[in-house]
Amino acid sequence: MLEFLSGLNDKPFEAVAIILFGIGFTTLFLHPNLIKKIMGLNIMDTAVYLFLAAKGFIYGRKAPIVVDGVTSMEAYINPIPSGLVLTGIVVSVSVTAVMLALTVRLYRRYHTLDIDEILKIIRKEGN
Amino acid sequence: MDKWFLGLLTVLMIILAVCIFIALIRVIKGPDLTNRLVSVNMIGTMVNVMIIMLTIYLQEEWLVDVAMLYTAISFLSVIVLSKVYIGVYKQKASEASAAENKAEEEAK
Amino acid sequence: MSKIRRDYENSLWRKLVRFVYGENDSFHEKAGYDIEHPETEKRKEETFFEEVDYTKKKKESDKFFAKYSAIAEKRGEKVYNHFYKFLAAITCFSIIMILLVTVAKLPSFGNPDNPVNNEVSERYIEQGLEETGAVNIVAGMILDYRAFDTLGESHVLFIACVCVMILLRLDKETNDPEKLKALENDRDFEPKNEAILQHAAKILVPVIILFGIYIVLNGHISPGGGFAGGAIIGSGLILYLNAFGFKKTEMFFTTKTFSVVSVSSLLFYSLSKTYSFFTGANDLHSIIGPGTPGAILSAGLILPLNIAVGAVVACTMYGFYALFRKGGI
Repeated sequence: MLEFLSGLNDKPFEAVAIILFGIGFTTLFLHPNLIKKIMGLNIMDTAVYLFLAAKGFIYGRKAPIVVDGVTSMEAYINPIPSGLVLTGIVVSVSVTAVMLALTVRLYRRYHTLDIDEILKIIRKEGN
Repeated sequence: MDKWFLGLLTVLMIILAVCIFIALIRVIKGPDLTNRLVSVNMIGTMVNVMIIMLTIYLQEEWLVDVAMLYTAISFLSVIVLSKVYIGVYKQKASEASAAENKAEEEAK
Repeated sequence: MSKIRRDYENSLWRKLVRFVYGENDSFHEKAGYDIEHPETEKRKEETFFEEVDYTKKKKESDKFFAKYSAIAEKRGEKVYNHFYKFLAAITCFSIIMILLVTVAKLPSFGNPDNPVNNEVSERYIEQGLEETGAVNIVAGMILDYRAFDTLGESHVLFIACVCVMILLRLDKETNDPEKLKALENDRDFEPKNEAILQHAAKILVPVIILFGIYIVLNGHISPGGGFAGGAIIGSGLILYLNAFGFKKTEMFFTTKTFSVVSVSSLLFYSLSKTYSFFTGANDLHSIIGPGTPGAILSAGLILPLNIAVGAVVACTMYGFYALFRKGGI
């Protein structure tokens, strides 16, 4: 237990990212409202960005923009997680837009955002 | 950089973080949509101030660009939200008046 | 749903149910008591129902059944709502705890000796400025070393916009009454001609778009680049649209503008990257040299690629907003 707590105390940003991830995951899987499901997915995305950015950081170093021609490993933080975060943001924006469009279509068809209600209506129509 | 000045910046950032937390509570709890809108606007402003303080604290002048970007986006988000809300309000009002007219006609 | 088994009457569960309700006590058979067989009971019921008015009986029973099934449904929902919060808390807590145990064993935060900081990032930092000419190492990385990845990203954005267009586009010549109603609603209840917003937009829109262009053009010498700058230009366009309405925006931005700008920038990106892959990827002998680091006209192909990405992102952002707001660009 003590080992666990000291391990967390060492990496506060990763711990916060994991807590955000858990909140988003729970909302995505258990909330009946479609819009809130999409919000949960976005919270999960944000948690992943925070985790990646925290992995790339190194104490006492600066952002990877060359100043005064200094190109040594000891001057800058790791640039690779930043590139990954950029990729993630773009994909998350497109996925969110497509999901919202599908939700708008569902609302126009069934006049409700509750996934359980929609399933009930579909079952009734099917019989 | 003066050591006292950096300490002052840290204290101010902590105060701002507490303020953001209080505004977040209002966003979640707020009885009305207008309360939520105003508090979202407040959160945007305070985060903006925090980014500019970080610029001085971390000695990275690139962050001013980020602060300007954040200002533009938060301004736009509040405008779009209020615009959508005005549209919804107008639609509800017109539907209510239509229902009233129908009731009056039936009464006649 | 599971099927009812054929030998249900003889199953253990059925025997237990019968025992609980006292229909057929298994001890009675052993003791030799004279009891009625369930089959004879069934036959009796059938003969009984043939004599009465069947439709009336059925209606009554339906009514009765509907009343109590509604109560059961409502109560079930209430129980579910209470149960949901409990379940959500437990799920959330268990997932967080499982992942936190993993995180506690990860290498420590901000340590330069972590395995993440390996020879790949060393190579990017130490050789990046020389090979690509970009002061911003991240821009040099995503638009030169891993430009194929960024090509995929911009295509993902474009394809997402096309998907939203397929899902939400409203034709003016449509016959679907629901779609027509939606079309009318958005136009009718759109707030128009707000003096404050229009005066603010007159001053702010040029500044915002100029700032976006600055971010795009400085992508290789400061933070930002095509994605951030494109998003800012798109937000400037959205502000203009909010202030002055769709009629004025349609004068310079239509579906044709959208398709021409985004498709031509994507084609330019693909062609220039094909050229650089064809001439040998990393040891690129480009006609555009790296130039002096720090100047705007430097870093080879990164500046034109940034402009192409910025155009695609700006079009897509505006397209998303317009499609969601009124169903058409």
